Amino acid sequence: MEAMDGVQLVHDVLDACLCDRNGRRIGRVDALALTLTEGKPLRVSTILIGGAVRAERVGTWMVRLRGAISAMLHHDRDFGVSRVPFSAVRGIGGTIELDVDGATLPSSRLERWLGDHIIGHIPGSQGENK
Amino acid sequence: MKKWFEIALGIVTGIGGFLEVGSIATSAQAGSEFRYQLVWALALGVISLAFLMEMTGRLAAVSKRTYVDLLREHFGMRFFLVALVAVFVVSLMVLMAEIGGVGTALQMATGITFAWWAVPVAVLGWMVLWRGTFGIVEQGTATLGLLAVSFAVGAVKAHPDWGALGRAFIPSGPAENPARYWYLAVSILGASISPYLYLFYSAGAVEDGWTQDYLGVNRITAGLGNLFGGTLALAVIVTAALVFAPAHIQIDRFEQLGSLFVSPLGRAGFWLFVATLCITCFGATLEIALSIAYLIAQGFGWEWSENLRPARDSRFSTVYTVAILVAAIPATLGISALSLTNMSMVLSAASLPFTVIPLIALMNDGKVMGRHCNGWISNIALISISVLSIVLFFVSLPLQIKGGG
Repeated sequence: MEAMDGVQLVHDVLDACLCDRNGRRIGRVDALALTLTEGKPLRVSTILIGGAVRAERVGTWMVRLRGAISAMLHHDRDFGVSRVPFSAVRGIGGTIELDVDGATLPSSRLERWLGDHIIGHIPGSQGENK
Repeated sequence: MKKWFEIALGIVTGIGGFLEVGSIATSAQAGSEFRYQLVWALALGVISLAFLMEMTGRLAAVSKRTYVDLLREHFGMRFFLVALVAVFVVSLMVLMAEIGGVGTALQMATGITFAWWAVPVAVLGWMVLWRGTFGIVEQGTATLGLLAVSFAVGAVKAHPDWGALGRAFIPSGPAENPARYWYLAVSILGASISPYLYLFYSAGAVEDGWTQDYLGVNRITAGLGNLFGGTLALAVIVTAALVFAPAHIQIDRFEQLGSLFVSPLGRAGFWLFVATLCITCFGATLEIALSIAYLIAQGFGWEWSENLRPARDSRFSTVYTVAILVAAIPATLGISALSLTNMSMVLSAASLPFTVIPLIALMNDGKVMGRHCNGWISNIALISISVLSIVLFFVSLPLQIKGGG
């Protein structure tokens, strides 16, 4: 990534839209994880994307609601959460570009499932542009 | 040349955007019960919507991003969730009313009850969204919506008292039944300033690839387009005041509106009304289903575009598919378009603060708008609309209970 001065984590990064290396929108920065190593400055290490992380930002009631739904579906608490190292960031502008393939991320599971099992089977759904 | 075409299109789109089941129903009710007296509410709604559309269009043209996208990014998950729920619920209710509106128009044309039409209308709407592009949705409904010009012809032929009409632009208190008067005023404002209208407009500006070169197009489209659409809603008030009010006809079923333009335009007036109701409600059905999908997809950062094949943005396509099918349920169960309309217009008015007030911050943020931040006229207008939205938030539900019957 090119050097950038004065990037504000909350204003410029948190909640920003994310694009993968193919230019496809893959979600938003739902949370950021920081790493503290002894003797070194605090460092932003990971971008987190996914409903479970979003729920924590909304409040405990949302975490409980999500937990109940996850239990019904036999999912882990962290189901569908992507952890992308901050080093994958290629640019911060209107959107944040990541050097990853969005289609393989856990947070894109619903997009893949709908595409593979429902939407993709309906005539007229395949191809690039209409 | 392309820009002039876009301006013409934008103005015509004002009909499709403005005139739909809500504005037709509330205007006809206002005219039949209070003659011209509520014209000021319509004028206030038109002006407010024009400002909001100009601003959300400018925001999209300058930042190349939609209003919803910036709303989530700048106000965070918690606030966005509240706005999302408010706009989603209201838009889904308006979508239900629009499908009921198309069904009612088809019932008036064929005699087959609207309940039978709801599912076919939803499926046809879904097919247009599935196969069509943004341009087809926008231009198709706009062009067909030109039929609504017949409303203006009808109103002029009904020979209104132009002086009385002009005076009605200044608000006046009701002589009787104040609860009903203010309830209809709120309904007209809710029908005019529906959040889906400016969310759709802002998403459309990004779909059409607007840049700062389009700021002039945006201003003219938002101003003249809404003026055009609003004039046709005014024609409904005027005609209802001249045809229904003297006969003491109060609108409690949509089907009564079929006779609105019969006295000025003859038998053709019936068919023009039915066709206009059908087309404008169908156009609004497409726009609202798309708006709901835009709202959710842009809020969560999913891939979205009406121009992509559905498998490329499967979550986005799933949202409009589910929304349009779910919205067909109330009409299928026989709930009338008019009761759905009145309830959804009032709730629409109540939801406005969540999408109007944040605009004040965004339109004055130099990081987003550069040198195209709001000037003092736009800021005064936006703050006034925000105050209006807060008033509507507090008065809509009590008025629905007191004056909605």
